[in-house]
Amino acid sequence: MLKGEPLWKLEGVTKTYLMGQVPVTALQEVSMEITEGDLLVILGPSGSGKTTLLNLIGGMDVPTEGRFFYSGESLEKAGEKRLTAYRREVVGFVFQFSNLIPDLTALENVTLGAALSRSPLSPEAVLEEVGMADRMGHFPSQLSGGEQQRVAIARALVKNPRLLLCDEPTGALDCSTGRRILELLERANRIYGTTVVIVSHNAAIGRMAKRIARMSSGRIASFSENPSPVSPGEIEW
Amino acid sequence: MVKSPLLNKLFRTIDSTRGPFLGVVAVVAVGLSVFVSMAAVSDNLLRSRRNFYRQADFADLFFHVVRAPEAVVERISAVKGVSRASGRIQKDVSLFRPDGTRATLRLTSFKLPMENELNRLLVQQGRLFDQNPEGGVLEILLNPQFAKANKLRLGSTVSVAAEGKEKPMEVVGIAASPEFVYAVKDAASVFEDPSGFGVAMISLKQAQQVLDFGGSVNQILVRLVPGSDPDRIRKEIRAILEPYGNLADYLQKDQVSEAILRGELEQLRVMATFLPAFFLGLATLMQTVFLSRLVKASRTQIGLMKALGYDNGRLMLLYGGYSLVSSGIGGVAGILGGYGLARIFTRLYATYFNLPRLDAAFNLRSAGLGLGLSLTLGCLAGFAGARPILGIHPAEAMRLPVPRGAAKLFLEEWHFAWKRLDPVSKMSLRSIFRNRFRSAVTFLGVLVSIGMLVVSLFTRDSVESLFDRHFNRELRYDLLARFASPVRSRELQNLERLPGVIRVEPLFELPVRMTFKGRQEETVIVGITPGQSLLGMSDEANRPRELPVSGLLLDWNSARKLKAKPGDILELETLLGKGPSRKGRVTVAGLSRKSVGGVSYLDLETLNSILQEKGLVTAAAIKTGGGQGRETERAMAGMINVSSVNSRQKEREYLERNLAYMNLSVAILVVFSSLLGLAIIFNASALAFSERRRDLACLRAMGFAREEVAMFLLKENLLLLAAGTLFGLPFGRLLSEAYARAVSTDLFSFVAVVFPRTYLLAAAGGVAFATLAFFLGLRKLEKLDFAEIIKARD
Repeated sequence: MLKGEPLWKLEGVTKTYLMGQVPVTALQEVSMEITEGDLLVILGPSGSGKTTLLNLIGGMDVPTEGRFFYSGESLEKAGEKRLTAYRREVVGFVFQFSNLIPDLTALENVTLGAALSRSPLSPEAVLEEVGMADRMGHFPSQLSGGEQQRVAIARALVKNPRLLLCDEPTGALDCSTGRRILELLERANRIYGTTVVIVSHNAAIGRMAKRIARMSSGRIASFSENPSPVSPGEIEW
Repeated sequence: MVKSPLLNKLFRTIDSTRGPFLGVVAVVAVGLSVFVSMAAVSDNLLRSRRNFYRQADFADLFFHVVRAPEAVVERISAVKGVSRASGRIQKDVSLFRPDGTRATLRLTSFKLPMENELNRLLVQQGRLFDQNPEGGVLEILLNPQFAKANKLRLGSTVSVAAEGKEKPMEVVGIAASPEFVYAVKDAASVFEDPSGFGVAMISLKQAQQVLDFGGSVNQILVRLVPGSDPDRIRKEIRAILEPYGNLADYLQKDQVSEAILRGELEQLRVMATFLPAFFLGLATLMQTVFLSRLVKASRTQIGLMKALGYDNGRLMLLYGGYSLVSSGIGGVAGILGGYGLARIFTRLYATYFNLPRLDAAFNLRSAGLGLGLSLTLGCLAGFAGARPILGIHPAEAMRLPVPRGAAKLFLEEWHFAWKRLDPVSKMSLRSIFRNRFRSAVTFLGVLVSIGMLVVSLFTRDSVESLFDRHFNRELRYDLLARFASPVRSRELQNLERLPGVIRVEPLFELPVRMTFKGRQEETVIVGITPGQSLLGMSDEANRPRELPVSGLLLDWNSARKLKAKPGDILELETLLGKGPSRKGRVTVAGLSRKSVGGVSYLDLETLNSILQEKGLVTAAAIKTGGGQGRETERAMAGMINVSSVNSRQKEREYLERNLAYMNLSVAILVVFSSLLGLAIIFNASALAFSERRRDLACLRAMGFAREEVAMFLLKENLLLLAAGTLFGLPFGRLLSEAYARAVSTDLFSFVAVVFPRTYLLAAAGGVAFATLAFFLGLRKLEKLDFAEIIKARD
């Protein structure tokens, strides 16, 4: 792999689901590239195919047509085992709902993530990093929504992933809590060099991105570079 | 009236939870089929027994004397409380088979016309003997088991040795008698081959001729007026019979065939109680757990329906209906299965018990009772499981549920150990203790299932060990020859000279009445020579022991009934039936316990001195050279004084052939216990999966492989399974002991023996359940659309 070349590459990717008897096309001939260290925000209304695209990039699903490369390896025909390994070694997920395991404390949830990685970060250090040092022993039910999301980010980061995929990470949070979550993501990109892809219906979030993809009806309507990304702290919605 | 949309919803819910639904149906069906089949078989046996006993006028009291004039029957009939009495002759004689071997035939006489007799015959084939047969032919009827085993048909002639002479007798019929429903020589011979012992029914007149009993009888049967006091009447009749040599008297319940039949009925009752109790109890708990989980998961829907105006009653009916439907379907399946099982068991019983009109009639009472029971429990489970509906408030139900408790476990206080656990183990432990009821049901289910696996297999172990004890340790002879009357021990030299004989040891089997502190026990003392080697004895704790230097080695069961212990002095009265009755005293030197039947042992010389005799014996234990037993037995054919010859080898072969009944019950029980274990694990896995779907989806998304996630899912159940198995093994042992105690009778003490092999097999069952749970989880994970689940709100 040559330096500067895109690490993730989608070529003419189409994804069709069967809803009962009816085929529904969620993505249509999408092509895009993501280079390492990127901070990409994918914007679009609900039903535009953002999450489907994210799932494909995250190895949770494979395209019906088209090609998908990671680091030069084609993954569109990859089997269950390969995709699991890809998710395990490369990807960290942050979802709209924190999806923490209710029977594990914050620290234990993060430790569970660390167990997946060959070169994990220290769970305690990462929790400290996300500002949860004093709540490590708490169960998810004892944490606020924002705190839960921070633990979820810590759980994704502790794996030391190359790619951090975030699906509406602020969707369930109020504005100021959401801003703090975005700050964490921006910081991961800036300090660790983690490639971050954020999916959102909230156009304001695009202001922190280095690049913005806008989606509508399963297609990428436009790509734009953002020459001067702003700090998440300055974003209002 | 429930409106159809709710009914539709109920059926759709059942359809979407087919697995756990079928699990419960299976457990209910198994429990009920055991209940229905055992209750039906037991009802059928009881009914046939009751009808037969009534029809045949089965006696309430039995008296054995040496010899009494027929006229004594009149005197006994006149005793207050006696409704009717019969006098008869009953005596064991030898039957010579064409191959030279012999069998014992119990000649039992009946006075004609039969209508006035007690214990009347029921002719099943052929005809009754004639009052005055043409040409003075001796006519007999045989019990069907003996006739079949010896291939004797109507018109066959058998050769019988009676009073030192060989007499031909003609088989004119096959008949059943209430006292030979289970035809066996005595309590100690329950395991013996039916071909070796038969009952020959003959007219009193002919019996008196053949046995030289002119005008006399040796047994009196008595039927009592309902409500009279049997003890008083027994005493009075004993006094009347005193001059004629009282040998024994007993109540109907102690008559051998009746005692065996009653023991069998008791076993059925135990099976029909404890097995269904386990299954139906667990099914109820499973339903409760499942329903409460279903209600919890449908909280929002229930709130919505309440908001629409459905009241608690209807909603309870909807959710409670779930368990009612599963109980109903399980109930019907159980009744059908139970009827099938009842047919199989009744057919088996019919081969052992000669009860007329024993059929596997569809038993409405047990079916109705079974269905009623399962529906009642279904209602109970429905109510218990659906009760949380009452607490659901429509407005609250639309909001997210209160999060699961976050209290720390007591285990977490043990920092040292807790810290070392991986997150998945912590997760499993917390989940077990936070869902205590559910965990308890799974634990209990596994415990019962493993315990029942042990019980199913222990009968085999116990019988195997009983066989080993009986055939290898207690009986070391190859043949046991009994004499028609006592002989001098030097006559045994004739036996020593027979082909193949290596060693002959003398025995005296002396029937006695023991008395200790007013308590009486009629039993047999075996007189043996010190240092003999062909009879093995064991003490109470099953350790081998020798004949004491002096004193009586008292049978454990007799000691229990007499409340006598070593050191006590017992009074003895001999009941030989020949010669005068003698009295003596003997000190208990120790206790002995036999696997089958119970006898006491005494030095042969001491026994002779009680009889005021010297050197008399009644039987000989014979050891033969490798495989020559049959030849030796044939060589004894000509010895008229030998009344019977028992072959250890034949007895063993017969028993091994006839374990079909046991193997069938073991197989059925193993299948049922495994089914219970599988249903429990299946339901627990299904519940764990549906409750943890979101966690599992998240783990999959994070990059955990399917197998790893299946392991996480398994871990919680694995801990419960391991605990259930660990406690299930000793529980099985306890159950086995309880079962053995419940089915032990005076005749037959069943000792629970569990081989390590059985524990291993039962534990292997636990491993099999775990493996199944793992693969079930894996299969469900294959279908898990984790991307979709993660996106959804909790």
